[in-house]
Amino acid sequence: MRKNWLLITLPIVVAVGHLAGYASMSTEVFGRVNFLEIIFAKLLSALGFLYASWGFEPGDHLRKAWRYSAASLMMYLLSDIIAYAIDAQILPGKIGLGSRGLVLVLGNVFYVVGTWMLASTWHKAGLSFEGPGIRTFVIRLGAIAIALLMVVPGVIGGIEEFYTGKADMWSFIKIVSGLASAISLSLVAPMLLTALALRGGILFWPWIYLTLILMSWLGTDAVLAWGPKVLGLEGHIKYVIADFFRILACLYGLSAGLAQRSITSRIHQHKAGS
Amino acid sequence: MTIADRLIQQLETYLGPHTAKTAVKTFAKRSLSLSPDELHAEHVSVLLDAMQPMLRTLLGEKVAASLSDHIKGALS
Repeated sequence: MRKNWLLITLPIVVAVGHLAGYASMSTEVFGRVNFLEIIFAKLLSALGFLYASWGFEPGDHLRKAWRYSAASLMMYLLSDIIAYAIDAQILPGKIGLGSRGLVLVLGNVFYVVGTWMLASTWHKAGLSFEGPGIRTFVIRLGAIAIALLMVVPGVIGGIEEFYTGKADMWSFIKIVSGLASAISLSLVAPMLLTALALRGGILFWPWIYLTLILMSWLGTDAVLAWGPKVLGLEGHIKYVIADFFRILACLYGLSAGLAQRSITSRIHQHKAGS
Repeated sequence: MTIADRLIQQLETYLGPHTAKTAVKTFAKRSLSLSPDELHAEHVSVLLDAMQPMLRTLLGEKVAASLSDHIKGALS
């Protein structure tokens, strides 16, 4: 139990440290630190998902779901590395941008498939959510509405670029990323309902971390989409706060992986002790 | 303590009390057409076999089989 509270609070401590870094460092130093923070956070998240998948056998539903999620984080990580290589002129711009676009599209596809598989676990297990159907329906509808609200500005921006003739590969990626986010974030409802149904059991923990991952990504999208208009967040600060949520999302990925694996270890200890 | 209570007790460590109770009720009805109160020791094996797809989805094949064996051993 204490370990799980640590896995809940540690990502918050690190993300607050990120804000403290912005407040105390020069822009140039913070830029470098921030790049490394995000790279490590994504790496830890991918490793967490992969570690969770190793607790399952080939053919297990959750093994595939965790692996798709790990693959999406690896693609996002690779995209950051390619962006760095382009900036540092290690990769030629045209090849770099093309490969980054491809990697991002793949990352989004893996993200949607992984999240969809995780969110459908309850249904696949042959169980139904507790409570009146209307409550479940309202929670699902609310999550879909919030997810759409968060991603609509990005998608509209991408579509507008096509209409005004300014479209390039990034307009297409904006639309793909927006749609991937909309689908994945709307799945926060089944994820939360699964966690709530499992409360009191050790399976609750990976599912609540998975819910926190999606809520954190929702925070990232909310800041990027509405931060300037609603909160007046302009320039660097918008990205610093978006990265606060990004770090949370990634580190909760590690927490989810560790919590999932501890269940596998527990049952083996249980068996050995019986 | 009834067999259903003992089954719920074994499952709730993993699934939580609510889902453990729902699972026993659902699968007793589905596989044996019985209510939880009507369950006896000889039903445990059939009930756990019926629960395998659910346990396998949530815990993975190996862990689900281990848990099932452990519960069968504990309740026999």
